[in-house]
Amino acid sequence: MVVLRGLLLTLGAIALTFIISFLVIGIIALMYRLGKSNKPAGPSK
Amino acid sequence: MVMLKLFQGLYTLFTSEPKIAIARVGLILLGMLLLYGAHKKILEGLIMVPMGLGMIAINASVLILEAGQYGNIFVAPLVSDPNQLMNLLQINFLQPIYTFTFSNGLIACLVFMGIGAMTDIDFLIAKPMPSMLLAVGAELGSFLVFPIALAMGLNPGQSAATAIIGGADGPMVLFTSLILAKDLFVPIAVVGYLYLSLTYGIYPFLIKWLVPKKLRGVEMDWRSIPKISRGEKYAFAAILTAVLCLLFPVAGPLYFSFFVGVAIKESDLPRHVQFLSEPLLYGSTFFLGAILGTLMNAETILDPKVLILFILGLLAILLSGVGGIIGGLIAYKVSKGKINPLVGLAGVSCVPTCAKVAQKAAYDANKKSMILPFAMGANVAGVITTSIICGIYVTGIPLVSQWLLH
Repeated sequence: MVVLRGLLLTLGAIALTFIISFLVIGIIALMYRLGKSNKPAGPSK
Repeated sequence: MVMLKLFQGLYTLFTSEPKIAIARVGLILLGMLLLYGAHKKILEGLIMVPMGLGMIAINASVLILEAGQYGNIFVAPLVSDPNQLMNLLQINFLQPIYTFTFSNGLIACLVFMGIGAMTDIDFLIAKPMPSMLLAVGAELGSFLVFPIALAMGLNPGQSAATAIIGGADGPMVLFTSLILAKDLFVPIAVVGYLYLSLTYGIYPFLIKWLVPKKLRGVEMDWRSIPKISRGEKYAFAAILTAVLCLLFPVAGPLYFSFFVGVAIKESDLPRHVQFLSEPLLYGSTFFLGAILGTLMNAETILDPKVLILFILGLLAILLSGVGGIIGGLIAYKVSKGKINPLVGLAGVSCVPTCAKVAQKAAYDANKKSMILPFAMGANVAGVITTSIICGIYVTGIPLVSQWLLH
């Protein structure tokens, strides 16, 4: 029973790790986009 | 026998219980083996030289203390009475370092500051998705060893602290075991660091066994990595510290320590970077190894749980390596051959060892294969995922341990 509950907990930890990892990915992607959009425009041709 | 009392190390060896005496001799020999491994570059010398010598010294220099008790004048880890501790701080020469830097996790944080100041996060920011997902795959050991440890009779805290060895991140192992398994933190930390030093030796075999030579030599175009500005990396460190500390305040000291290193590196403070990445990192690593070695006495090793820890630690490290390689092979398929599968192994967060192991294996298979920048991305992502799992365990286990054991 303890092992079964441990397995359940492990699945929960995996799910939570994925969710937080996607949160980190989202933060990085957002910053990257903001960084790019704030860059000064190049000389006009 | 009276004559032998002059040489108390020998006297205590011959007059203690046989199992203690055998364990002492065994640990002295093990210490010599660690020194040999470090000298031959099989083990990581930075940790293993002070640790091996510490093991030899602590097990050889057992002496007769007050009231005829056997002990040492190095360090006493289990003292909690304030008066006794004040006395020991003036007697045991390593007690001040243990009490003020080890038992509160400070030394793990100092090592993390140094690692942060040496870490390049360019590729992680340029390609967060593959880096983070490969790193989660390379945490297989940190996840699967938890229920296995429960099945082998460890309590939830001890199981989680042992499982985190799969993250292959020394400071994280130390930090988790100090919080969740204070009674077993010495053997868990020693087993953890021992296996971390063995990644140089174990993982190349794992690679040869699981990845065909053709795939090991896949070339990746490192010139395609976009340039990331210092400002972006600086902001990344600040925002991620805030987010992770909000989610898991218990692991806040670790997040702060790692990202303050990153922030200092990116804020162009060369003297601070040098301080964190040289004297602070190497000084902390040295004392970490010395303290771990001197904590490894016969009484500690005779705990029957230590054998279980050795088995589980090895399993955790191996499973994480396998998980990383499986993740790498999936990434290779999904990217239609653009990602070298060995980058997955670098998701195991032993920075920068795993990235270097992956690069060496790739180079051995194909002299033109340069995967180090990509491997470092996964490697740094591995540090972040291990710290996330550390946060989940450290915060979650105390909340659910009653339910788990009910």
